[in-house]
Amino acid sequence: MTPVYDPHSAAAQGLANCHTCGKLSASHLHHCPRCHSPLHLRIPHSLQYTWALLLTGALLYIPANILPVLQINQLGSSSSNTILGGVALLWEQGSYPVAIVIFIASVIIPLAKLFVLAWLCSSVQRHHQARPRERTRLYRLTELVGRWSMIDVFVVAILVALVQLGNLLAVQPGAAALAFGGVVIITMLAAMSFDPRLIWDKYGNQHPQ
Amino acid sequence: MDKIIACHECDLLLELSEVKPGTKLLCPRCGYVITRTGHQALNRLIAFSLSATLFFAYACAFPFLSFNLQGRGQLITLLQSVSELYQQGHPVLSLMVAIFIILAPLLLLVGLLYVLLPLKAGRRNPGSIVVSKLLLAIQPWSMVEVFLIGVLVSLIKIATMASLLLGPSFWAYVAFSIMLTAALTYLDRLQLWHWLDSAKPWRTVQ
Ligand SMILES: [Zn+2]
Repeated sequence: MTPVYDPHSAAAQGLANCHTCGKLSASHLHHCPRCHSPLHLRIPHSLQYTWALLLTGALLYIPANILPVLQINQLGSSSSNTILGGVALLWEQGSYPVAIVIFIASVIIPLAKLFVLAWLCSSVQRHHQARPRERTRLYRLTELVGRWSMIDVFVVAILVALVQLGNLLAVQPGAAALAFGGVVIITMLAAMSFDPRLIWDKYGNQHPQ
Repeated sequence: MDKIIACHECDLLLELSEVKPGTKLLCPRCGYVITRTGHQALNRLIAFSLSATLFFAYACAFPFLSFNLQGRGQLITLLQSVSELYQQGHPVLSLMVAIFIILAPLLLLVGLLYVLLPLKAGRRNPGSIVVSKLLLAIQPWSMVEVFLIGVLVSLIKIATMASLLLGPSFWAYVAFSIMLTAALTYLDRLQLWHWLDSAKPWRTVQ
């Protein structure tokens, strides 16, 4: 079904908004006359790319949470932690605020991002018309908070780079560290490939003006 | 700035009246920040970017973190954290750290200064448009403040086994992070392209 652009939108007037520099140009031009970025009314194949990235992110999310993220060798004995295990350990140590921060950044945010973006994609595909303003805000939020999930990857990197005293105390990264870094990068790319203007497009059987 | 623009996030056509410095213009339909122009934006952007660069240079020169356990200890600088990870056989982790905490913010700063400094004289450096496109693409990948929180969490995480100490470079990196964030609050996409539009290339001087 062809989208019927909202009459107040630039696309309805045949004007494409350059994604890079924000200049409006006639949509038949292929490149922005100011910054030479490719021009299009909507990001091409936005939903397909977003779905593909979301699926990859969701698959990576499983090893990221099941496998150990950090392995600590101390005096011959070794212990390894998953992301959730690390949160539990911080909680037992009494570092409640840090445990909560890590829980939100590493567990809640990536999961919420995957679900919110999937829901936004499907709401566009189902030609959902209600509450576009709220859905756009939700999208904006997922774009804003995504990078904060990287905290745990940095914690692993810092400890591994610094704490190397052989048998006395040494820290090794687990496989989940890379998987988790991958989840963060891929969900950031998914948010970037989603075009929030699709939320505002109307759908019907009429031809676009 | 252009008179007629469209909202980046909902494509609403908007007529822009004259945007005075110090205005924050929201899309009436979806609430997206269309443009946010600060007072003295160009001067402040340059000043904050310059001081961020200085703090960054300082942050690279001294120990970043150290730790002690039973009289044995280790110490790393910011750059060593990357090379150390690489030497221990974790190239991908090393690359992620290098990109997110060193390369992306540094490219951002160098690019900003390259584009912005000549604007003071109403001129445009060659390649400014390409560099500006690059800047806007790099921006989300600079994770300086996320890294700082990561450092603090590391301190607490290892606290029961050994004590980590923050070196002078850590504090320089904190200052660098604050300066970079301050600079970026004055970086407005529409404003930047408007400045570039109104600047002339150098060669027309002769
Ligand atoms: Zn809008």
